[in-house]
Amino acid sequence: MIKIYVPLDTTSVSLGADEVVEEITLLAKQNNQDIHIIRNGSWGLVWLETLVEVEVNGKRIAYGPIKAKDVAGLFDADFLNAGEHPLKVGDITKVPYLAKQTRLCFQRVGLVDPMEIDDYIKHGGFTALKKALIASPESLIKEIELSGLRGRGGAAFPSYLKLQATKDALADEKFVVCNFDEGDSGTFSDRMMGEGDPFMILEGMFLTALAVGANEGYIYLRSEYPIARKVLNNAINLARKTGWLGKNIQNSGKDFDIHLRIGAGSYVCGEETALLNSLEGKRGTVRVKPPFPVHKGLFGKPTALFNVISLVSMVTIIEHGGKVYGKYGYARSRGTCPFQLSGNIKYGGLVELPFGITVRDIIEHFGGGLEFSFDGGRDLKLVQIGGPLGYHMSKNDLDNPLDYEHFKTLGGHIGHGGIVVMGHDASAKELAHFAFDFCALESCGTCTPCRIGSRRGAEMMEQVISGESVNENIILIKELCDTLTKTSLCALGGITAVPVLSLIKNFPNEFEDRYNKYVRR
Amino acid sequence: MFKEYDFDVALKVIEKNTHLRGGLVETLRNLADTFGYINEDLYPALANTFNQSEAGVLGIVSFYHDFKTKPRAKNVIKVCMAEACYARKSKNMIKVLCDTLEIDIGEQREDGKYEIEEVFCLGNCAVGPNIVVNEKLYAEVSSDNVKAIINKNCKGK
Repeated sequence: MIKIYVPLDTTSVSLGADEVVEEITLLAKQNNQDIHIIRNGSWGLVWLETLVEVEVNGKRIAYGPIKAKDVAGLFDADFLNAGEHPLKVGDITKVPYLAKQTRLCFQRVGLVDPMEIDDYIKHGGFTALKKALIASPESLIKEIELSGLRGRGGAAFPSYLKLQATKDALADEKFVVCNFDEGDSGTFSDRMMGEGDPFMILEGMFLTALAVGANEGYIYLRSEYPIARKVLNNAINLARKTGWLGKNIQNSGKDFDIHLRIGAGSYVCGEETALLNSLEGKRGTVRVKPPFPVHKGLFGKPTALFNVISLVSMVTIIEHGGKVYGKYGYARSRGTCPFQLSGNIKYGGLVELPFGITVRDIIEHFGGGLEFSFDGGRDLKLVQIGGPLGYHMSKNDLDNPLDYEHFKTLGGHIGHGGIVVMGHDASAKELAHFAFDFCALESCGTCTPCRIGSRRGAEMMEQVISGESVNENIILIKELCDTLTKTSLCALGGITAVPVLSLIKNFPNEFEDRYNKYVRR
Repeated sequence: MFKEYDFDVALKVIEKNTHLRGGLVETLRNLADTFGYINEDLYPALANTFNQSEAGVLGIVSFYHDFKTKPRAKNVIKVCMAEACYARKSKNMIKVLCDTLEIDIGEQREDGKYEIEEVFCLGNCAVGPNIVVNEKLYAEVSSDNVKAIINKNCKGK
């Protein structure tokens, strides 16, 4: 029986992976070939999707990008025996894009069958958990402290402090919550993890539960990820069946169970307190902090709430030791971060690297260079880092290293590691307008600056775009940004100013009155 | 794609989730997945089950973008409006899409055949622009192929 791997990843499926599977099955039957198709996660080399891998003599040989119409050609080229074909890639792990990465969180994504728990265990899964089951909560938290891990959702808060505070809180029950509400545009690392290696997320949640003393966990998954929903559901059911979730797990005397909840299309529910309200079945409005979720979180109980990537990072940390993980990184940003490259770029995809690499390096060494244009237009104009409310840098800023503190001094943030490259047809004014508009649409309405300020900001940007009292409006917009930053309740309003101010700073001539006199939308 | 409203089924969905802690959003989710929208005749039942006022239920329904209060069109097309797709020229494609279907973003056509919903990020950013036609995601949609995608997936409905 020949093993063939075709990803079930959203990106691959959107490019026709299901059709490729159908075609392979059909042709294999016609050719009397005994094959077994495994739907794996994506390796994150998006331009090669749909990537088809064949196992020949224990080695995996990749072909890509494959469309359904190419499958007949693959059979003609005898791809089941690693035959030559123009689309042959060979060993995917030798492709520089992948070989140059430091894959700690994504070590198994692409490699394993996400629908089989045995395959996860075969590739080293649950090693960390087995260690944790016999370790003390203190030693687990110590290990996380040594690693220097900081929350990967965007706030970069030291993870060990969160664990410690939840552990120290006294309560009859505690919760672990996994924030899978990956709403930032240009980010897809959580999704790829959920679709490619779901058991690692469960393991991370259980580790966290052991450290803080919780018995129940919730995953809050956004509704835009139906495939992740299917994969996670299957993972939870399998883990329950095989005794990795439920009562007396692996005869350790510890209980832990996980519930999967689906969001309802609200961006602000990625904010931790809004997420908790949504999990409680309420409007996803932001709560005033303090009390912090570590003291009063889900259903009023102490809650350790982590982003997907933080949770899986903890798995690698416990598995290899905090010091090993902490060796990677730059200044106070320790470890690796799965950066996500997209937009007007040649080689988009997932790039897991230690912090400290410059934006230029990532675009030149992985993305395929600054000169590329999506459809023959013009090359790189600006790069957006950290989602719709992230910093927009011009070509001159590309040498900044990706580091939490460094981006703070710029007036931005790394956020969830999304890097969107835009060409010269992107308009700074339109993007600034979009930031306000997006904030207005997604604002939960709890605090006045965000609820009303965003709308006024969008109106003023509309005037700027149409060339009305540009200078006056820009002054007002800057003041408004100051108010938003200082007085908003949560990060949504608080960082709406980041894109607006960075665009005004880095592309001043687009916001000049003189310019607007002649160029109208 | 979505079922016609059947109140027996809907009440069963509500009943099934009664025991869930904070289950109202989850229940609305299930109803939206099954029927496409939340029928306001269910508000009293939802309010009773989850210890809410009817206004409270309405407040929750109106808060989330996924919960609609009117029947959906036969073909629902979701379009990503976010920056990663914008960077890959989604604007041109969206214009062609709107012109083809003769509706604007966020509108439903009068004959109830088509509806365009705006979404922000489908997590498929590296191969945008993305649209979802009747739950099926399409990547690399351009002003050239968008018509063909619509014709292929919305035929006969």
